[in-house]
Amino acid sequence: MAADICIPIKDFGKDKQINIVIEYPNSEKNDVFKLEVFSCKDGAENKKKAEDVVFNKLKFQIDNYDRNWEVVQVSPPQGEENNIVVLFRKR
Amino acid sequence: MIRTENLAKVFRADEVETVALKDVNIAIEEGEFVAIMGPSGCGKTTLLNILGLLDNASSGSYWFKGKDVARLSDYQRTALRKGKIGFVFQSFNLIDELSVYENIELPLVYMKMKASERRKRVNSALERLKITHRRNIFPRQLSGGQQQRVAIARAVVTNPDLILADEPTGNLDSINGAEVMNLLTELNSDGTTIVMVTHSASDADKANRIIQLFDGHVLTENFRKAI
Repeated sequence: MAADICIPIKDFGKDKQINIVIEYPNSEKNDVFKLEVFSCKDGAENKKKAEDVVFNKLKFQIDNYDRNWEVVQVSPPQGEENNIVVLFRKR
Repeated sequence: MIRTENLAKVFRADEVETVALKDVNIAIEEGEFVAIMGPSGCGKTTLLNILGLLDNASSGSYWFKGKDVARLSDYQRTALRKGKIGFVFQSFNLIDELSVYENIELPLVYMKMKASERRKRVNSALERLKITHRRNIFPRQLSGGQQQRVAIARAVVTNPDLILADEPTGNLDSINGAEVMNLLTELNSDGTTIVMVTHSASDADKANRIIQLFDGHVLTENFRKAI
């Protein structure tokens, strides 16, 4: 049975990257996850345009990310910098 | 089975306009199990409602089993949905006043199916979901996991081509949640196409493909395993 777990992480913010390795005691294969923060500041004046800018910036960064990693979860934008936390898993 | 092209949904209230979906282009083949993920408010449920013909898109195209269904009336959508699409909701949406048997039978009544055929189908769904012994009790007498099992029986009783599940484990503990995911996986193995909205990465792992939505757009699509 798979389960989602919640791990508290200290001082996690912009320009930081965290690796999480899940080791299974009876298996040789580990799961490797990586948390990364993308700044998607919009700079747009109206809300509708701002949403498009944020999406396009995030999509560009994910499309050009190392193909060995797949997206698992994406957070909503946070703070003035529109920081978006993305959880990746090693393929 | 499903194809959308530049699908968009805009909600208008007074002078406020909210774009819930924008330029959504997806294709889902028969037999697939697709999970839709994304932050709250990104348009997951709106997309599921449009795919399930509960709502119309504001613009763009939607083909369901080769038929253009983007601009159907309420009546036409209901007629097309009946028997072809089954729904499983986070809050089960069972009718408290009806027994387990009657809840499962309800979609067949709406389809105006003969009583003898209804009996056969409901009994088969009860057996398939292993709830025959609970046929005469009422939803409030069941645990959340058991209620979701009944809701799944109600969704499959019409032998639908497609099951749409909106956070099906959202109100369940991990053991009942895992059981519901096993049921959905079994249904998919039997050939039913499943599209599921979820916040749970482990539930999404059961799917063949994961579509990530963000601000109403498709952000990524990951193929996890072949059908």
